[in-house]
Amino acid sequence: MKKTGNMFVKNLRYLCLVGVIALGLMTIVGTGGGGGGGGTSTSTTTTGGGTTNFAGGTLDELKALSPNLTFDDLEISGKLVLPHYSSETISVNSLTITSTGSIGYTYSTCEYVDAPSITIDASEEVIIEGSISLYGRSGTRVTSGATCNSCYGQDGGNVTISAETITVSGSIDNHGGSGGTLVFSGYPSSGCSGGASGNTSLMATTIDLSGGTVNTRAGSGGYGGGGSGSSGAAGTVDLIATDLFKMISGSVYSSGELTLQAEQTEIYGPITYGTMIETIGGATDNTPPDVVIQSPQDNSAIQWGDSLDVTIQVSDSGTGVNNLQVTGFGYDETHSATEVINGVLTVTIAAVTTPASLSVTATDNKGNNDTASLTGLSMAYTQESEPNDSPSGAQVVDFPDIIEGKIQKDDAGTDTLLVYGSVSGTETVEDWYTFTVDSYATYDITLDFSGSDSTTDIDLFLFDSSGATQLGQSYVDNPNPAILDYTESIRAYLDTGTYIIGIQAYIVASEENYTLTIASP
Amino acid sequence: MQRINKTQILIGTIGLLFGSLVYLIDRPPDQTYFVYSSPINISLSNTIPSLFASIGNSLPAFLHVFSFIVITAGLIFCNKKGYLIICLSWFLVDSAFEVGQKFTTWSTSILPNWFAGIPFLENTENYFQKGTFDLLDLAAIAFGTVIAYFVLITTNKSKRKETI
Repeated sequence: MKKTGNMFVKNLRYLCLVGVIALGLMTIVGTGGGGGGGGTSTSTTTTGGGTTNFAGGTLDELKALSPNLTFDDLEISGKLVLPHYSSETISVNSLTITSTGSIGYTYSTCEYVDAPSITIDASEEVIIEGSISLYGRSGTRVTSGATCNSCYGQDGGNVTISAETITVSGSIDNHGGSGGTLVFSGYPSSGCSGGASGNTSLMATTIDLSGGTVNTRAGSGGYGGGGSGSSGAAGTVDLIATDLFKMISGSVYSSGELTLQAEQTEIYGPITYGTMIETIGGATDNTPPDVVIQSPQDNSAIQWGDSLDVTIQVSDSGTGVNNLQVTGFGYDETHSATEVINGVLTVTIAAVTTPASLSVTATDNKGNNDTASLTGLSMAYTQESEPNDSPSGAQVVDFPDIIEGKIQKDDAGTDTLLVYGSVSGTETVEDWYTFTVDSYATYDITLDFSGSDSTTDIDLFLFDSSGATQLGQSYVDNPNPAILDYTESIRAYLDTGTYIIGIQAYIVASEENYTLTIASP
Repeated sequence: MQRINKTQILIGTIGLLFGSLVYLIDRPPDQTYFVYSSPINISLSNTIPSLFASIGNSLPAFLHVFSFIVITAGLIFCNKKGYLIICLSWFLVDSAFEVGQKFTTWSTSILPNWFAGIPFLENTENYFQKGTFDLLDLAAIAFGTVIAYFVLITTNKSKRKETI
């Protein structure tokens, strides 16, 4: 039986070995080459009622339906493949590129050509759920003397759309291709320049880019040991809406000049640009966003260590909200405006710590910003709850937690065997706490007190869950003039489980306040 | 019974995953078969900045031979002589594919027609036709082989110590 099992394992290992060798060969082939550019769907269909459905194919196949590319209503549900160097205009009442549809181009292995351009002239609406992908082909690694490859990134094509309404929930991508690397055997390689980006122009009464993207980046230069190539020329993006420009959870990227014109805007998403020329409601945008912290509110006391939901309301009437930076209670994060839902951003601070402050800075896409801060905030701590005079009656506290307590020598307590290095003895321990951790890690237990009396000396001990076995101790000679340190601390490596802390009033002439902190380092 | 060397397999797998980052982040998606043929967009090339700069040119050649030597040895569990055979085998395989890019016409002429249409195999012709022969890649393969051998020796020693 055992022999059969061994044979099975042995065969399984040979099978794995064959798999590894096959994977090795596949990864050689699968990571080289290239030549992607997308295939071409060749089916075209038309439907009646003034709507033409194009299920994919070449430009010639589309022209077979209308030689001058004029349609009433056109729906593209497959890939329309444009030829290289073409610059075509499609005239329609309305155009819809469905989620399965796209306008693009393809190239053979050895073709390195600039992307074509497209103009869509619609009298009513243009809806892009799929994509317009006219980005430049990237250069590749080339050795001197190679005839098939090209090191230089190719240029992206221009995309121009005019309509009554334009809705883009898909993508328009006409970035320049990245530069490749020129390899000289025996010499450092050098990077080649990236391709120029195309230009993107959207003109309509209403433009809605919610959930959509416009990527008009210049192609980045290639890398090489002898120097990097230069980036391609930057393209421009024109977003001209005579009434409303709306973009919620979308993004626009232009390496070059970006022109944004609208009577009104509703923007929650990043617009990245080289330079921006904006006219919102007939004026340039010098108005910062309006940001309000809805909760918590001024003068709140926040429990240390608890989670805290922060609700922020934000709006911007100009170029739109780009990001919000939330700072305070040990939290400092920048959130993209794409996280804002219906004008509200909700942030959860997992574990509140000091400082007891909260501010939010909202920045719009032009760089204007506004800050909202809360005042009168304070930190609330767990209070000692008597009686906590024995291990079995220890006060249950959280992890992490900060506890404020009081102690004096004649408090009730439990006689406990304490170990001070090589010396041990039975002493009364007055205050007891118990806490639970859920992972094996390093933990810090710190006791701070003021030393209000010059003789005050308080010691700190850590026990297992029964309170019988001492796991750690801190017994600084606090009032010693050479020390004068009113802090005791234990750093412990604890496994998952429950532990008990004992605090002993070694010398406390009058009642002393203390703060006990249980936290990660 | 001989056991697999988990440490070696882990090291090899990490190397393999690290190498794939070059293709996902630094290389344009239309240059890598497994990226552009993926049903979903897995390329980060236009999303995050380049990580590897010029070292990314030859890093995959280094990591590929290194990772597969270490993984293969981890499965077989053999002595130094066996390690040498594994190292030499993968070195020859990787070098042959690299040199094949220099002699494109001959390389593509020996490819069987039935490769066309079969995932991964269909890219073999592109691999030889479009791939770029580079002496630095050959050097990286040799370097990766040597490093892998030393890793195998090192990890095998530690294993025996544990056993003792």
